[in-house]
Amino acid sequence: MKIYINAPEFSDINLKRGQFVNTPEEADYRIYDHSTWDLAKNPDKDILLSSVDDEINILEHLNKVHSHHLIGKSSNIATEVERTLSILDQGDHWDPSKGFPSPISSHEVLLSSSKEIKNSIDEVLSNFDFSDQFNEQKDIIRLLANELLVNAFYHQLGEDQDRSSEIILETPVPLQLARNESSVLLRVEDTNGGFPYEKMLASLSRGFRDKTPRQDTEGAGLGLYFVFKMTNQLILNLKENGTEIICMFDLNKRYKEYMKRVSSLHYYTGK
Amino acid sequence: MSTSLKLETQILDNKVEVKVSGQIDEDATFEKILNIKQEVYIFDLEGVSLINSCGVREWINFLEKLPEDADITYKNVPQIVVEQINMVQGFVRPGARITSFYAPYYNEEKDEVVKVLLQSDEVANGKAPSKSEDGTDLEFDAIEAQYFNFLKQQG
Amino acid sequence: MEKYHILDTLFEAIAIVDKKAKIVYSNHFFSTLFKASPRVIRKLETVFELFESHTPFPKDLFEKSLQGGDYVSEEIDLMSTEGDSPCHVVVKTTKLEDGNVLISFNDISIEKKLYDKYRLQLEELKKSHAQIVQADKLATIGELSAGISHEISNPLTIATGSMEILEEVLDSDMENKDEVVRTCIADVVESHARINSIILNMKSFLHSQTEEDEREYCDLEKVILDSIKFVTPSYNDHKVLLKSTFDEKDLVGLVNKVKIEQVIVNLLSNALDALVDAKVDSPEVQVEVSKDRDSNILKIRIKDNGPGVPDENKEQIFNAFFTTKDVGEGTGLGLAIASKIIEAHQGSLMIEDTDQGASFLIQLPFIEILSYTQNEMLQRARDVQDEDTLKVMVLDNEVQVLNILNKICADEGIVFMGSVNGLDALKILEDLSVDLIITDYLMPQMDGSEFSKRARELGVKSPILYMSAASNQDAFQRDKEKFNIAGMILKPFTKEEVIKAIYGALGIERNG
Repeated sequence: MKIYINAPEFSDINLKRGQFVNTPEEADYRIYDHSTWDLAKNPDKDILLSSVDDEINILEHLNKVHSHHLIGKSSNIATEVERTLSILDQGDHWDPSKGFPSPISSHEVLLSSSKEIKNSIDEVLSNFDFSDQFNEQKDIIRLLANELLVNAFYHQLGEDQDRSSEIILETPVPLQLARNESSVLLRVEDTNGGFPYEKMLASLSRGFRDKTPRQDTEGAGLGLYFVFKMTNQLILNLKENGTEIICMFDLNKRYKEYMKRVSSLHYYTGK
Repeated sequence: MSTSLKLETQILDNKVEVKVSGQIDEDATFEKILNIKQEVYIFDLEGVSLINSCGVREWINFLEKLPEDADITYKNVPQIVVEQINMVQGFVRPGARITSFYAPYYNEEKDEVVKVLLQSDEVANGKAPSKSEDGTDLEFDAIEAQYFNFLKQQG
Repeated sequence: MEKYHILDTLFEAIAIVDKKAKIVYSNHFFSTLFKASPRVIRKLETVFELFESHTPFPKDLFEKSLQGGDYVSEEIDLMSTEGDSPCHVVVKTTKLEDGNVLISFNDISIEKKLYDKYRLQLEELKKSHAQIVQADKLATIGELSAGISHEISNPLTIATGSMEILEEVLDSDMENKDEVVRTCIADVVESHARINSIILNMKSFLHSQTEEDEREYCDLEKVILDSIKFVTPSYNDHKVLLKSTFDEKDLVGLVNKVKIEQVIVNLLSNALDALVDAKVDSPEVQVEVSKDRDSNILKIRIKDNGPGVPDENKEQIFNAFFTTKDVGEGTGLGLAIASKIIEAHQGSLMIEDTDQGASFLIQLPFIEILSYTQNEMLQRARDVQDEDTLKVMVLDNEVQVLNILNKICADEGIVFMGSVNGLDALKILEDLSVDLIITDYLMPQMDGSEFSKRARELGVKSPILYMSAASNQDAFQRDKEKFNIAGMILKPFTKEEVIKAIYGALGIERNG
């Protein structure tokens, strides 16, 4: 795996694997940061490292070059970069063994009806030990799980459904909450066909730009925006007939540390 | 989805205090308090467990239906709602004020983050007021500029 | 100091202290009350030292007086370091012309002791009363036992006899064995049923004496119609006409529905029996319910056009076991039970003088009065102070609402007075003052506005709260200024909302 790095603000990153080359043309994957992002050209192979605002990352950087991988600055950034490269190199498909190794605990619930959303969230939350995290974590996960599940149920087949109706799905939607040594994982998977990157970016962008709910659609158009802002890593993993959405949270006792972190955005197509 | 939004009202003189509890989501209705027409509205959000994106919309739309010259204040705003207020415009209606809200503070001795109820006027120049618990000084555990952003929007 | 000597003649403990609270003079009573000799007093740096540290001496009174002015403390217990028990006192401080502060201690230990004694006696009175009631019950049981053993002996004899016959018949070779056996068994079954019913009636009789039965606001029209439904088949069988009239809508009683129905059914059954026995032409029974506003009494009259009750029996019919029926019919307990039930409702059951037929009259107090006295007793039983107890009147034509609010108030230690009729409520307000009035807005006979208007005209100053569904806001906004309406409770309401509204309107901080 040949890697080209041009990320002056992240010069102290220590990547262990891969062979480093000196020109972008020679490389399989290129790593830039927000100061050099203008040089990026290739959505699939260019990775953006950033320590600036979420808003700038989405509106300015990603809208310019639709990179599939934005990695926000954190104490674990090297690990995150390694993992990303490793997944890309092995076929671009996120799975727990690579993305969330050695889980310590996990609880999963399957939902068939939209009416089960509230109770399912309460269930996974009550089965989780929040003692070594800042106490707001619970409320954040509750909100994010709600947004993801509502999307999973009401965005069937690309159609935005009336939120007051009950949706029953043949293939149940899994809701999972798990943790390992360094992170917490929240996972929801839908069967609404793959979520196109353009659509995802458009939704996020609108959220950052307008910061108000949409009145012209069934949904308010802020779900993904909330999720991205409040999680540390937002990972979309395209599957056969749906999308797996994963939120990763760094384990942290301090809320401040948690909020300081710039959010990462990963889009895996499994090609 | 079942609505668990509860609105408890206290209507006295020219004021109405509404204690909001439960989830504010797509099922939320504010019918009960739409026709009240008092001069002063006080929303106590202490019991709000979640406001999702659809709930934010319901809330904003509801606010628009209140009398234009009504005096609106929010109190006991939970931390996560503060975050959402900072993320969304129009949540706090122009002219409305938040009088008290929860903020995270870190207690080094106990190694835990606690929620402290702050009065908005305790925050001077965007600085978190100093707080202590059982004699230990607490450290404000959020980014001031970010967390107190909403105070700049206040009327 | 000479100039203060006159204070020695007073039966009030007085100490005069300087700016630093050192005692410059104290009178004889001061020494006596706090058991401190002059020597001890002289050694004190400040007057505060004389009192044990854990008794809070109102230092702030002294400090305030230094600036000028007279101050009085609440009743407190002060424990002198020289004494062996605390003194119950009121402390007053005043600045003197010479710059010193006079502190006087008004000893009210005696008053407090008297009050405690009074409360103790009240407790004892309650116990005695309970004992009397219990003794009465026991006496009644004694009476009943005698009556019952008499009543039971008959069916018991029949049952025993039948069993003996059975034994013999089963051993024999009689021809119609089966038939005889069946007859015997039937007799035994019937006898047992009779014994059972006597026992049940006795239980019912004993139970009817309790005043602790649960009462609810009930629509009396419904209660009576339900009772009538119960007896209608029998009335129809004997072709007896049964009519009921109600002189008003919303006739509400604060009653135990089941018990009152028991009474009505009993009276209706008696009437039916009397008419059937006497073979009256065009037999008819009428139930009339009316409200007598002059005497504040709810009247339920049940009259028939039968032979009536002979004068010589009129006094005895309410006695236990008195019956004019044949042996084996009726237990003689019905009217006794009915009478006890009505008494337990603070009402009366009597037989009226009539030209023709029998007329039984049940009288019950108006719900407003009944709920007031009942709830007041209830709160007193819970040892709540009289002056602190809030009295709230609720006016709503729906009994459900009255019942719910009654419970909410009872739980909060608030005395509740329910009413369904604006006119009745106003009448009560003429004589009784309440702390707060909650009125429904939409009521058939008089709406909330009209009621408030008249209440204010009467001179009622208590805050009034409107209760209504959300769509009825305009009335509140309009009447706020006009009739001084303090606020509103939206229907449907929660317990919390009601409590908050009550305390909010009264400007009281809620405890706990």
